Amino acid sequence: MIKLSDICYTYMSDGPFEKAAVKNVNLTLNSGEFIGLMGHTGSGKSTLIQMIAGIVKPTSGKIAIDGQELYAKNCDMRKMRFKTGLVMQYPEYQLFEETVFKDIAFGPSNMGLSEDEIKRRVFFAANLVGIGDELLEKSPFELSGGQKRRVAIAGVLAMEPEILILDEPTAGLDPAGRDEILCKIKDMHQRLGITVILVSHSMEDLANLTDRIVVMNHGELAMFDKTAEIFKHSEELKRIGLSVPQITEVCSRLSEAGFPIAEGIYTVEMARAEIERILKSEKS
Amino acid sequence: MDTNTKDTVIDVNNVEFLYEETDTAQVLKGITLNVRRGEFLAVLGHNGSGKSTLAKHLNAILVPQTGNVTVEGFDTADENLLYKIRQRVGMVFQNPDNQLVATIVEEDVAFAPENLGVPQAEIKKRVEYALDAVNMTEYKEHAPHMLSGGQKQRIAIAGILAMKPDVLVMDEPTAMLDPVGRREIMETVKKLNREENMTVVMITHFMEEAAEADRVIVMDHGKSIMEGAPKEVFSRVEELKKIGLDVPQTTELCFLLKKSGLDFDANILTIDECVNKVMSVYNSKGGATND
Amino acid sequence: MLKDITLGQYFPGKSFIHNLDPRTKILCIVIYITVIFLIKSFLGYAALAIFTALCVFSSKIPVKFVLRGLKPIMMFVAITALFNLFLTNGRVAWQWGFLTITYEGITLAIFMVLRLFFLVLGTSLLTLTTSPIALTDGIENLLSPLKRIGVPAHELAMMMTIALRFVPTLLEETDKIIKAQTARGADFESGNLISRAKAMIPILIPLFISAFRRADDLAVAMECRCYRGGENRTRLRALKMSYRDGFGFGAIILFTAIIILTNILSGRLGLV
Repeated sequence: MIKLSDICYTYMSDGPFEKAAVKNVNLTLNSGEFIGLMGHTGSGKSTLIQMIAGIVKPTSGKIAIDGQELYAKNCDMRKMRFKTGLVMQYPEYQLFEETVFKDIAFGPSNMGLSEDEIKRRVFFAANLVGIGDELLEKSPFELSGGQKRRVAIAGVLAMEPEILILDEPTAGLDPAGRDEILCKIKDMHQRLGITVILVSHSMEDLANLTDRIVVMNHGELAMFDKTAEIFKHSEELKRIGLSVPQITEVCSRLSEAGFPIAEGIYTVEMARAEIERILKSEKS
Repeated sequence: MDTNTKDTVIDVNNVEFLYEETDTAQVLKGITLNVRRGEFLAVLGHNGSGKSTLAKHLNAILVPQTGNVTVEGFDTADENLLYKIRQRVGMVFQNPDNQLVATIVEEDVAFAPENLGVPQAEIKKRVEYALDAVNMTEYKEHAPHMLSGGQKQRIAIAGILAMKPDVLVMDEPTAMLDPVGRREIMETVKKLNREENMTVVMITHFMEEAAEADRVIVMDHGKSIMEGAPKEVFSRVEELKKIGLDVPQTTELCFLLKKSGLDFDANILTIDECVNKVMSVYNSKGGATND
Repeated sequence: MLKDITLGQYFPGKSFIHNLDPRTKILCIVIYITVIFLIKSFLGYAALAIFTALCVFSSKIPVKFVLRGLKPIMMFVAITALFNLFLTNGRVAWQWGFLTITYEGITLAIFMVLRLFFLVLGTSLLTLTTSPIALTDGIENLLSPLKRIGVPAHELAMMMTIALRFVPTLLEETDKIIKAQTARGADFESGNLISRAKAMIPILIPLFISAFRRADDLAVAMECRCYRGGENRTRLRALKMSYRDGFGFGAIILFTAIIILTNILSGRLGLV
């Protein structure tokens, strides 16, 4: 369980350019949940996840993971960081080793694990993201963009974190690369039962994957609810510069036009089933 | 092929290209297409389809190994014509950070005309015009690194407009931007196309962006495999999905409903069209309204 | 942490000093620095202080902001002062064990501190009132007569501009890479010097690769914008001297004369 109480973060806290990035956020996330995090650029979402990942210390407030308070005196921060795996934006830019294997092994080696355990984890993580064994001895810089991205994610997964945090893992990928990564993440969440926090600008992707969604706006927590509930508030989302999936827009327009469609539809498959049901029942 | 040369700005004729140093799939395998004056053309394709390699051929950054490319009749293989071609076909790239040269916005916009030896008074005019065209005049004295991604990319576009090009080629200009930045760029490009009559070639893998073009060319494995108005192209849902591309959710919904045996067609693009279509099917079946 | 570093800290404004031609400012600062090292008396330093204060006030930049430039050199100044204080031979003023302070040492230490302070104040006034672009233009222009003997004036200026443009970008990138590797358990704090140096590899390699990629991209982007070196290039902003620059040069010449005068005076009167 991740518990944030009254979290604040201020940039350049003593200078004339003081700017609050995160303001008084209270949030409790359960273990094993798939959480979506959305907000426009500068809404504080990147800072928020970096604080959870133990990289950025909040200016004030408390973060506790499974009861252990982060940044407290008795807290071994390095150990906690292995528990929360953070995949930053464009993670392929952090690759540095000679081979894919060595790069994925960087995290586990830092944990001080045995050679055998490191090896097991590298194969396991590479397999999870769909990087075949034949690629492990290649240089990471010879791979394609999508492959590099997956190697970087494997580097985080190899630490076997209980909480996986991904900051826009599909940015810059084409639809096929995007679907591949998202499919692996979904698969991982189901197979390993880990908590996933996914930051994304794509309403469609968040709609397809998440249980609950956190909406940030100007550093504050604007909404936090089940995915279906969040997308019912399309007016509110639009007001803060976000949107709803195109399909949700279609459904709400249909509802306005007098089509008896149910509320809370946010995927194409849901919409197809509902429209088909209505049109076919009208037929009979 | 459409050979109305008067209206063709760029002519790509059976071009083949293969990178020597790598074995990646980024090659052109005999592609033929043309860019017509004043149009907004989208080139859609997944990563590795050869679309960026194609872009680099449009202003002689790369030269075809076989076949030829002409810009306003100038052959890109002729080195003497290099600057004539580059001045006519301006190029904007993916990463907004890596194409701005100067530390002040207006200096950056002035970079190309300075290189071309344009007289000072004329440079001033062009910078003013270009910044105004992308709606960034108020930022002219800012430092680029303080701007948002979308703003930086608009400065990059202004830097190209200051050359007074005939064609604006953009190679995945929104791939690294957030939705706000993406919208800024799309609006800027559409405005340039409509109001300044700028010919635009937009290379992208975002179908939402291609949907706003006049004409779409779909690339796969270094070839053009589909061509037409967005509506025609996107109605081929299964073929697009097979080569790793998306279709709008509206198109997909109608496609699925059609497959379910309902009276739908996949030639639906916008939300309006989709809503109208569902309502007309509903009403024809004697829906809630009894009139 | 890395974001706090400011480079080429230009403070925009429209003061007399801001509006001087960068070439004037660069030449004046060269004279100013030379003069600092010519001063032989406290009287001279008084004149220097007054002149510098006048410049700061006419630049309309908050004094606090100008003085901030002194902060990073404090340590260096202190060490220099101590060396001068204890290692100068002369009449003994104070002695304790092997530590000796001479009257000459005291004078020299004070002079050294003053020199360094005014040196930094002067140059920061130059960078505060001159945009990096004007500065590089000025340097390019001043160096251009040397082109004939093979000094690549345009290329140097272009390199400076690009460096200035990319420093903030690369700093931001470094920050990101440090965070990413920290998240993977990289340890930059513990261990001896060698293991700490080794810990930098996961930061430096990605940074270099990214810098080369950016350079590559930029080169193509510059080609697309018809860049072909300095020949036949025109400029958006041409440097132009005005009556102001006359005043500027007048002021610096007057200042030099006063300093020489103080040197002669103090020599006659036997002052330090």
